[in-house]
Amino acid sequence: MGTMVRIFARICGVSVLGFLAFAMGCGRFERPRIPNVIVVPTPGSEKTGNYTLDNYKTDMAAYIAATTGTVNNTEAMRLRNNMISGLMAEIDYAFYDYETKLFLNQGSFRVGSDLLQLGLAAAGGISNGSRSKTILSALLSGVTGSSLSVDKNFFRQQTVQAISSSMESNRDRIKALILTQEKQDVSTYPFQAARADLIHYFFAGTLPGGLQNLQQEAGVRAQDQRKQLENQMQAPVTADDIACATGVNQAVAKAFADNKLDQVIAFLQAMKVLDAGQSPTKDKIESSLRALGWNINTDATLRKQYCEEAKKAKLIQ
Amino acid sequence: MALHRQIVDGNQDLAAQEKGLNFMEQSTFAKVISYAKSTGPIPQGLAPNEVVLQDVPIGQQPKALHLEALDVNGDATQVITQQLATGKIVVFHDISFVGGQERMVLGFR
Repeated sequence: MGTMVRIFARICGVSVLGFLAFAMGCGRFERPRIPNVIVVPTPGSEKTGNYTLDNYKTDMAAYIAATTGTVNNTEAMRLRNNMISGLMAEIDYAFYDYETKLFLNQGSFRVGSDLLQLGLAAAGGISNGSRSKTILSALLSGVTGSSLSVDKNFFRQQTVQAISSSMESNRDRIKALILTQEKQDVSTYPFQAARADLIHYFFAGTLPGGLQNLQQEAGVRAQDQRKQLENQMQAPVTADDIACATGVNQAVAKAFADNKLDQVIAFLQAMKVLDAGQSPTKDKIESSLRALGWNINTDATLRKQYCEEAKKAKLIQ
Repeated sequence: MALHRQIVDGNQDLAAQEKGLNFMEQSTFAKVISYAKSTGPIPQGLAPNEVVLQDVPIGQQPKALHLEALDVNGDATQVITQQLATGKIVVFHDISFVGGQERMVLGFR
């Protein structure tokens, strides 16, 4: 029992010292002080222009009046857009405040668990008994495990930076959509539709929204990658294809050795890799043959044409 | 001489891949110098192998390539001995996809 108390005292001593050093060295670092003209809730009784529930109720009542009976479209649009802008500003405030806390909370958790790990490792190093060391290393693996668990379960092993950019890009996309819709009249884009988009806008700025968007982006990237890889892949080869390529290769080798390149030139012209009427150099012929050879590896249709034209040019039977 | 890379479908069986590599050599006037499974991220369902070819002077095309496959941790001694006895030499040996599964693939000519 006495050993356990000593171990605990050592852990606490090292961890607390580390934390104090960290806390004293850093001070306020999460964000600068929010100016009074922006901060929500409004300080004192001053109005800062933030959109309150009372503002919303007033605008909503006026909007309903403007869209009931004889519709006053200009006034209804003005009120709808006013509500959209007001709500959007409130959502933006909530989002940026949340985003800052997200960075800060994950950072604090990491710093805390790092300090605890350092403390446990240090205490393990200075402990005498093997039993104490065993207990400390068990505690140390527990702390490391909980840090990994937070990464796995809350952040799905994504960094806060990645989630944050994902949330921002998704929000920007929805915001652009809403701003485009603001030009529509209230029969095409009533406030109820705007409200649905604003809800979407709000949830795009949450941890699940960011993770979901990241997952979708990863899915699209994987599909693109798959397509790219499939396009680069060699098309299936038949025995006839090999006979054709081998025949052309041998015929070209003979033509080069004999310096009789007319048939090869005619073939390349028919394949449209050399212009008709050109007198190409041997190097040009060679590079054209090689480039064409690469193209027929991935393009099965071109390969068929290659063998047909090689027959016509009498390079192969 | 210039080097080129090409992707070959590792979902094909060994004979189809052998045909593919020989066609590539003949059509591009080149020779295979290495063959292995792609090292980049692989989308599900695909099994890309990457082949590296080196240009050869026209008229100096080497003999056809022959492939043999073993289990990933299999003993290649017997296969190599057999092929050496027929006058072939080892061109490459590495892990590649064959029929979508990882195998040790040896190339001889």
